[in-house]
Amino acid sequence: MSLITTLARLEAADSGHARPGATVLHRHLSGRPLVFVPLTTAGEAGAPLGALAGTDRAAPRLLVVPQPRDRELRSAFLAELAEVLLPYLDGYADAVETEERRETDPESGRKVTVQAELCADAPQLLVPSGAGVAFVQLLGRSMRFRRTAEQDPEAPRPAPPGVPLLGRWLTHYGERARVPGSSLLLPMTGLLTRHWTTGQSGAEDQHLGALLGWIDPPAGLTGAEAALRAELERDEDGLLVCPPAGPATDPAFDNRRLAPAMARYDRARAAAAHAEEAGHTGRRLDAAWQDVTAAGEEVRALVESQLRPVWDAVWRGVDLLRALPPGAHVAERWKRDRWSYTSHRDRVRAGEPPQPKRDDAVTAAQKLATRETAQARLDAQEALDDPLVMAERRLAGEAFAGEVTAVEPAVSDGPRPMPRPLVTVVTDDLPHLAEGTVVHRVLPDGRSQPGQCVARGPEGVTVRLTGGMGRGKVPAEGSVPEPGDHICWTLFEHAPRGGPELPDPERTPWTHGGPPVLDDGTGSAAPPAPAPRPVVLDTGPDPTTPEDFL
Amino acid sequence: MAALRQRLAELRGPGTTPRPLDARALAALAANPGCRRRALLDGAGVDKTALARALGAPAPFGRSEFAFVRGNAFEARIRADGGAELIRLVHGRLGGGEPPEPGEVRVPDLAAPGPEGRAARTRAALAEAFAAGAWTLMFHPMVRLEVAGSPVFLEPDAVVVHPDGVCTVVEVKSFPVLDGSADAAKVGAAARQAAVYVLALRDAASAAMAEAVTAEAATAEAATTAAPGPAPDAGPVGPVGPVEGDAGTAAPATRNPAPAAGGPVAPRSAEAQHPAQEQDPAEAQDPGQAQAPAEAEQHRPAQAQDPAREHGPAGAAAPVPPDAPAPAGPEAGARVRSTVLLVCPRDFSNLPTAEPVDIRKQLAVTRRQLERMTRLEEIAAALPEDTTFDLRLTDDGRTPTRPAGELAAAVDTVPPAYAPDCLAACELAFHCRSQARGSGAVEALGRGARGELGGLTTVAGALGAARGETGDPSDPAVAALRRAAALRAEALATAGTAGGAGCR
Repeated sequence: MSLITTLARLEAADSGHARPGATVLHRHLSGRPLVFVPLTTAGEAGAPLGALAGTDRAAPRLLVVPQPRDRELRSAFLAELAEVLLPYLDGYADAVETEERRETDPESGRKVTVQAELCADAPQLLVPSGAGVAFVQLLGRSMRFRRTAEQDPEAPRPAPPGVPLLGRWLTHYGERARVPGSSLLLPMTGLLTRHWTTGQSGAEDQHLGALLGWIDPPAGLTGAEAALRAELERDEDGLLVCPPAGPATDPAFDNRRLAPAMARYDRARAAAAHAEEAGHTGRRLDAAWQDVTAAGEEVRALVESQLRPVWDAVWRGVDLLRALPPGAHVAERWKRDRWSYTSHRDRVRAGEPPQPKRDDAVTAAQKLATRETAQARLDAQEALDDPLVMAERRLAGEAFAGEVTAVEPAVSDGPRPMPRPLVTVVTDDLPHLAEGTVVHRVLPDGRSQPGQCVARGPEGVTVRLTGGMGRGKVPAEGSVPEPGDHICWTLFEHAPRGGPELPDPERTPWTHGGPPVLDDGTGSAAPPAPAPRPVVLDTGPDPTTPEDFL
Repeated sequence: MAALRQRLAELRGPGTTPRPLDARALAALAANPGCRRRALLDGAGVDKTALARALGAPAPFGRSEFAFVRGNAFEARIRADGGAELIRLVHGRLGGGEPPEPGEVRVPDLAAPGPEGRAARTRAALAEAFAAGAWTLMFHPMVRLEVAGSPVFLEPDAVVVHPDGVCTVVEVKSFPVLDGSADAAKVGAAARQAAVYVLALRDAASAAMAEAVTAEAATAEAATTAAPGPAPDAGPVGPVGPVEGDAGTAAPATRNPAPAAGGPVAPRSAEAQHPAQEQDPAEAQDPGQAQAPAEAEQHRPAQAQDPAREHGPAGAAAPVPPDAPAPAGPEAGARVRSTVLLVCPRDFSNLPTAEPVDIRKQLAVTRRQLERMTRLEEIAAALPEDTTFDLRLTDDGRTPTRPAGELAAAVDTVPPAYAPDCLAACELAFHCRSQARGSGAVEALGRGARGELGGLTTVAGALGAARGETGDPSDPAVAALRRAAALRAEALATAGTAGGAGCR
């Protein structure tokens, strides 16, 4: 947390209302996101209790597991979830545009330009909180290795169709959510804390109701009061008025409402099963099953009572975010998300197996490198898009802004003299500059111009422009600032690239499993590998854990 | 000691039974050792849940019935069959000689009346297990630890004594291990909790070994000199021994030779120990006791002295690092591994899986934090004479009759060290938070905020300094804040949203 954020927290605590934490929207917000509000059973990994899902805020689809310990009912829930989510996820697969992409030609080894399909838009999932993102990852893990009757006729408990496929999509979305700045799967609390600063601590900001209270309190209340109310207010039965955003439920709700209702449901089912066994028919059996339906409806209503306020809160958050103008680089980052979506679509279409349980060392190294690059890019782009973020960088000494006081023409040494004008800027900022430090600024046409710090004195910082002025002897129009201009130099690159490329598969170092073992039948021809590559595609069920799946 | 006990009982309120501390609370306390309020309330055994409710700031803690049922079912599965599954996991993950044949594992009965009795029974069972040289499995043993000058009784989920006489603490948790990894925060909490158990078990192990030694020596003299001591009132709060350094661990080691001299301790004799234990301070002067640690060293079983052997054969599944030297003395440190076994449900099933967790770091941190925890006497001495946290419950024991204002004033006499992390760990946190917010303390915004603002401790003070109204411009914190304020104002003005978005 930077001092500027701390200052905003102080202001918010003092005024009782949230303060802006950004001046533009830093994440892509789809015009038609799918909101997914899941609930889980306490104490059990991946035993969903219910969910609200849908793209229409007025008509969410309610899914409930009346008895989460029942495997059949959980299976039915997942099948229903696949029915809701898969059409949405698939719905963006066919509208494509073509993009030119540079790829290495496998035969010649040279870079060639190829035409690749890129989906014009991508589906976006919104969940209430960070815990919701973790639950999506968990759901993906629990579903993607299951086998439908079609895939494996021998399977003892075949999965409903669509479940393994949804598991793979949720896994992909869950993994993508770990990439900084990505927008395929976003938590509402994360979105709101990025754009507003409240007068409470970061840990307390994880409560969606309290967060909305700070940002957009109901009439007559300050944000602080509304947040406190959302956090603690209970009705006469001791139940939270603003239920937690899940996926965990409030223990008081579990113990006072849900557990008795589930017990009634269990009893009704036992009675119905008993009636069936005893050979009852007709009206008595019908009555028994009606009891089951009624008890199930009761559980449904209870689960919905916990889900609906959260559903509405997420959409309120969407409204608040839509009021912000989008940042200039958001579309570029969203395009990377579209690439991610497109490539997963291609993997599914190619019939590749589901993602492995654990990444092998090479994949892990690649993912880590991708995320590091994405983080650096996000940091740079957010600063360029948003003066408030740039202010944080300026405070940290990583950028400086000021008025140009002098521009002195100069040319480079060498056989072909090039313009290298000296620009002096007066600034109040305290950048970490030394002679020779490379700095960057944005040109009016959006390109980045490099420079080098030459001198720093009481009259300002003098920077020698080293590029972005065209190839001529005279700098291109508009590429050199005029005295009186306000410009901002950054000490960080505007389009940071990742580190060095990872080695080819044949040159994988032993630390990462060594080169893949070639299975060409001769055995002796293959170079001796110090260790075989770890099994990557371990997709079978756990050998010792028969109950591995939901 | 009696004076402190008396004082703590007064603070708790007459007729109120003390609430025992558990390892979870201790770990939380060790995470915030500067909080005198928590140290005193916990040390005095005040029911903080009821206190918070009476103050009008109840803690929203609770446990779901579903989690409870599931957790119990999981633990029952581990305990089934005399813990066969648990021994299999321990042997599989930590090695330690031949796997035991079914029925070969000793599972001593640790039942005894009262925490003191159970702790004594556990010590005796430990001594037997060290002597037996076989696999011993102890479910829910009771061990004691000195915290801020008063004893706390702790109940680890299980302790396994290997045939070579080394113990491993087993921590059973209900969060899943999915594909070999688990939630880091939960594992961290479990490790901190286990560190408390290991510290306490080391004390118990050295006591058990001293008992074994004394039994071997069969010095009837020791028993006779120890037994007729001055026996002050045996209250719920036990004797208070020194906590710091080696002296502190030597004292418990020699504390109670009587039961061991009489052979294996039965629940009956456990009760009889109270008087003997109470004469702890007198023992310090007893010249005969000084020999005990030296003797213990000599009588250590041979195999425990060989570190290579102690840490299992080469085929052990997990690399187990050598134990760090413990301040509790070499014999106790080596007896209790600094690697604990975390047992959790595997993937989405209810089948147990185990992972060794190296907790040397948590041990060092916890030990340090417990040592620096301000002693209760000092905190209690700083309070006004008539302070009490008595709720003055009605006869049904439910409704407090003491006015909330009076109670709040009493609580206010002990300074807290509030941080937002407390909300997850302390029942009183919501009360402390509303106080911190009410007084405009910057801690309410997070520990980070407090650190960044230097000497500016209130929201109003920090904002005044940022606006240039107050504060010394030569103070680096003030200067940085002013620069931050200027940059923020400039940025918001540029974007044209100053005071705008979201602040309706």
